[in-house]
Amino acid sequence: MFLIKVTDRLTKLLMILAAAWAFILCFFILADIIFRALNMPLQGTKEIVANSVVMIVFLQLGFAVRSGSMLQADFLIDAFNPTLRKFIVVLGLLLGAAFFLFLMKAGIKPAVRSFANGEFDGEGALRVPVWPARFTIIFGSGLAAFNYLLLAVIEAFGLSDRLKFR
Amino acid sequence: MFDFGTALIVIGGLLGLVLLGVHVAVALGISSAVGIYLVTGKMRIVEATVASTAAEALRDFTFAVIPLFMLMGEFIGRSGAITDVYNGINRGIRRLPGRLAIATVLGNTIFSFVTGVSIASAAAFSRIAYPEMKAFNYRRGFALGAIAGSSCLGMLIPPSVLMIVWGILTEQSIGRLFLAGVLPGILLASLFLGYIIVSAIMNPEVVGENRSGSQQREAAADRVEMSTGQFLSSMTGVFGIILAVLGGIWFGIFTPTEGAGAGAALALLFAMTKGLTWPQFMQAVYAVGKTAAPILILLFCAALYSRTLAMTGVTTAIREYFISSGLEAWQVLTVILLIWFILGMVIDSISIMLLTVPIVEPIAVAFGFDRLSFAIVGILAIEAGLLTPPFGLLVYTVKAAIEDPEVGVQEIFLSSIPYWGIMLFAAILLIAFPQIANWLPETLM
Amino acid sequence: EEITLRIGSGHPPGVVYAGLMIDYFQPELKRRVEERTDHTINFVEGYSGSIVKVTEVLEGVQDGIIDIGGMCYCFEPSNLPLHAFQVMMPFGTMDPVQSLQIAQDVYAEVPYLTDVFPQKFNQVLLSRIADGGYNLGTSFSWEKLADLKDQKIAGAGLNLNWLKYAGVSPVQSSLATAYTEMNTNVYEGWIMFPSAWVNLKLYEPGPYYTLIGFGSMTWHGLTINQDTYNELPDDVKEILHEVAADYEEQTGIVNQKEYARLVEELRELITVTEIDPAVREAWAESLKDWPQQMADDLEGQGLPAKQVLNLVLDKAEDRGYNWPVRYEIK
Ligand code: NA
Ligand code: NA
Repeated sequence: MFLIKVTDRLTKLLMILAAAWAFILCFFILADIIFRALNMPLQGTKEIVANSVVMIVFLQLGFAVRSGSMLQADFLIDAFNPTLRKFIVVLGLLLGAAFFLFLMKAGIKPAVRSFANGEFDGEGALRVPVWPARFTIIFGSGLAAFNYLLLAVIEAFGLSDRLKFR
Repeated sequence: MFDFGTALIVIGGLLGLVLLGVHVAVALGISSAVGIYLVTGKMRIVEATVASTAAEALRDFTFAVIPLFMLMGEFIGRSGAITDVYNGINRGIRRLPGRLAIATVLGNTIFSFVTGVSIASAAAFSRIAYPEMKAFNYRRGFALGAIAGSSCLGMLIPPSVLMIVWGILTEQSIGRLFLAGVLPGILLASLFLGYIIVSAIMNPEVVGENRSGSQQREAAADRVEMSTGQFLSSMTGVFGIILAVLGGIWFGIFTPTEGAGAGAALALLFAMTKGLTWPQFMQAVYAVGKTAAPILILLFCAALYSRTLAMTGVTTAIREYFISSGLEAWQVLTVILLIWFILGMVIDSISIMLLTVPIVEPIAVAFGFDRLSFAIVGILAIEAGLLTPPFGLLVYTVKAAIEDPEVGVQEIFLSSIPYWGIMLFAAILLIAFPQIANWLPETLM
Repeated sequence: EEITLRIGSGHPPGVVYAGLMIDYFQPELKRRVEERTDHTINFVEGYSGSIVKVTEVLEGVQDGIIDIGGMCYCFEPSNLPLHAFQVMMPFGTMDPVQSLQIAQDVYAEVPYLTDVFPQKFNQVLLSRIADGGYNLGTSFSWEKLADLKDQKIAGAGLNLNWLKYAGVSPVQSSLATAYTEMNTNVYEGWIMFPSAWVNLKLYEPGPYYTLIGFGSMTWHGLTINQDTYNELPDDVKEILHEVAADYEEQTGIVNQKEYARLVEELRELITVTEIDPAVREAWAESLKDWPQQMADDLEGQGLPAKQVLNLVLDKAEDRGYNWPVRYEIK
């Protein structure tokens, strides 16, 4: 229970952090346009924004999973009998956990490699390191996998009231 | 080498998982992983492909356009300006039959120029227009049909997340797609208006005539309190942002992503002058986080899937099958439209696009369709699915936003039928007259 | 035995080297293997980034996502910084055949350039790939270097440095967005080869193309995954190297022909001017400290940069090329 409370807090915190960051990007871009108009182009805006997209998405992934925002088509299983429906839903959630666990594991090697090689975007301009985005992928998909497992448990044992995401 | 068994598993597996309610992103991811394993036989390569796609597919300046345009729409939607615009239009057309429904369509047309997603339009106008129409004794279904139906304009008139995704998938200029959508959007809005006016004349009961005294009508018409100054400032603000953002993109100041960024910043400043509160601001930022992330994750998983299709050789095989099938161009188009419309019944529009466009667009080009009007036709057909049962995102959005337990989903679905019928009709018009989409981009860009 | 190879690049077939992979490398390998061995070759194609994006090719081949990949070293500034050596010596030869010969001479004397692929990136370098020469296209006409001062001009990657010294405002960009950004005045010019100016219709927003001659760069490569390579039968390996060597020569020859043809095509469309040699020399002069700076930087990373850059100067002269300014690297 305590663990779930902590991860739910974390899930929400990361979501808000990333949302705020996405918001700040718009002022960053505005500044870029203004400085360019004044003939003083800022360096690295594109690279920073590009890497930010990856980080924002994977920071918000856990929340998307936990809050049930992931897009799905549930009209067919809604017509099934409750036991079969529950079975299929749990299976689907476990597949989600499996996929993101797989992504987490798969991401480790290239992230370490990227860090060791000092991989960066923006040759000739501001050099923006790529490894933070790569490590965010590992972290974000790990949290997503955990939340998928949690949802599977909730669904399987009918705990939706006790483990509600607020 | 193309292997039929692998292709069947990759495509059939995906469809099966999606239909069983597995999250679309997960279904794409799992069937890709299985497909890559079948082709390469090495888990190591599956891992490398999945990890590399996660890092590279979204690491692009262009993708920021999605949350940024959403943010712009949210700020304007919550500023109260759209309510002012709606009320202003409403007053200006006092003598027309069905004027509240007409004001809904017109208001939605204007709001469409600042929002990138249709659900934002549906939610906003459920809050703004439904209580009005209810007070005027509109038949509930007719009122909600007008709201859900005209929300579709949100994705057809620029900015539009669907156009952005289409542009990304087919490597076309997003600015050109934006321009191509303007005239078809206005055409569609006019057709909606025509339908409403004809219904109101043929069957005045749907717009509250004969169900309430005319006295009540007049009294209620002036119920809305709003100064002309307030209306003008809202109109100026909204049009100013539209001009700055879309004008900036079309007339050479910045790229769509930059336009979206600047637009979001301007929209915030404007909303603040309109008295945007701190909780409203937080809600806007939060709402974007909640809707943008699932779409972007879907984009990553779709990129993985399209790579899988390339690695298995399926994409090439399907294209060659169609080209060598001996089908006529119009038959191919009919097949494509049918696939979209049927998929639209069960999956959301962005997923459909990600699943089909990388395969279908090269086929259409091979059969001689021009890319711009084909994109708009595709968006129309896919958007129509937002109104069809059993999965009609806009209908559910309206249902959730009106908070009226008396109205059932079926009722909204039923009254939305004319609207998606009109959208399919507009799609056919565009196929017959591709100039409707091409004229503006050719003239201006 | 049937051998299936996933082959691709991040670039579309319209780019000369990628087109040659499809029209020359693939059919030649297939034909010769079938003629001379009992094996057959099947290709699964992944061009235009349909399997790996331009920035992913080195890693993609390393991990076996694709077996054979064509890549630009311009996207590998952290993994293969020295391989862009000709870019560090601007105003070199504009002849792709000669550029390739110079690169071949340099590779012959510096084993690191070839060996780093199997040693660090689990792949084998099959071919070096030449590219058409770089010039400057602009939306305005100009004559002297001073006319370019404070103008916004785009480049991609390392060649952005060619601009810094001329007093222009360099803007980092990429081919994909070039047309829109030129059209929307995000910048007023691009360092670009004629093929892109013609094929991407950049002549519409940029009706002035000046033959500056920044040089033809041999900074692409064709590689094969080490494991895939090891599994190939010996007779196929031998044919692979043979076809790869022919493909390498083809990239020089075809780019040379294409360059001449495309410049002619541009002359019909827009204003094409030859740069005044004095202006070229002044530009080269303004850049004369940059190669040394690059060399020091790369030596700091433990790479034989001084040796390589000096070899580029010498080998170019051996091949009969005269540098407008002879850089000095100590
Ligand atoms: Na819109
Ligand atoms: Na639907």
